[in-house]
Amino acid sequence: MLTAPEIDKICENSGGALIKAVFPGLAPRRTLYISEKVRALITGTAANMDSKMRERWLVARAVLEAFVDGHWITTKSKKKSRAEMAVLCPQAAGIWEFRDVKPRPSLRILGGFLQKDVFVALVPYERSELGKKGSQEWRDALQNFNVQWELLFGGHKPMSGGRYPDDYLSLARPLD
Amino acid sequence: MTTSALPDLLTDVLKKEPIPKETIGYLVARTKLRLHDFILRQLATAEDSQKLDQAKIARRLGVSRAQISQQLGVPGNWTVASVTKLAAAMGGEIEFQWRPFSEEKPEAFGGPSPDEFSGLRPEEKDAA
Repeated sequence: MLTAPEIDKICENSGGALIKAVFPGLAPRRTLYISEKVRALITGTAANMDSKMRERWLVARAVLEAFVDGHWITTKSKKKSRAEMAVLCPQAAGIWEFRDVKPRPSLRILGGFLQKDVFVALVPYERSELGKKGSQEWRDALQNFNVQWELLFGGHKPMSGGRYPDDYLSLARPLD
Repeated sequence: MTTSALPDLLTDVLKKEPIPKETIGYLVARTKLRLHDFILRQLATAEDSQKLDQAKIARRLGVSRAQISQQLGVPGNWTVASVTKLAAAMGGEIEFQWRPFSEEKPEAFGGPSPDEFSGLRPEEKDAA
């Protein structure tokens, strides 16, 4: 498991590819690291964003703020359950998603836990880009996640195993 | 350490006229997420103290348990009416606090104590 100084070193050496997100006015109860791509989207500074997409990704920013602020978070436990976070199959890979479904377009941010309550939000998508679960687009997204993760963390895999979701998140509420 | 203090949208609100449309959307989302957190917190308390569960809430509101589960999942569609119904089914109502944008959110402002989190808080763990 990576220690806090090791994670900070990775951020320093990443040339801005990974940063620790600090939201003004919020006492951090959980820790969030974000990729440059996520940062650009939630600050409305990504290339070619129109006002509609800026507005949409600012809503996603509010979701990430809620994570850092220590809100209760719903987790997916059934195929059809609507939750804020979910671990993707296969669970052993330790890839999670933030699921921000409203307003449309629905968004997903793939990431992984380094420790309990310490999340790396790495690759953002509009849900429509991903097709059906199991599609080539999804496989590409998971592959993209793995490549990005490997670039940053080398042989340190995302946290996996243990009790889902309580070993990953304080104040998690699985939806039944 | 490489951190990013992201732009403060709240103080931005105080400076810009009119308030940008996308900032309004962000503020609406924040409010819904705080209501969501509040309801889930009250539900966890009520489950312990009143032996309340989602099935009982569903019966009280005359809807299916699946509908309650769906409502609790994400607050995107929440309205004043839906929040009021959930609160009523748990035996209470919501009160409010005013916080000017110019003031930081205090630790005790309707949230959990940082001690409830067992995860890494680098500054604290390094100092320990």
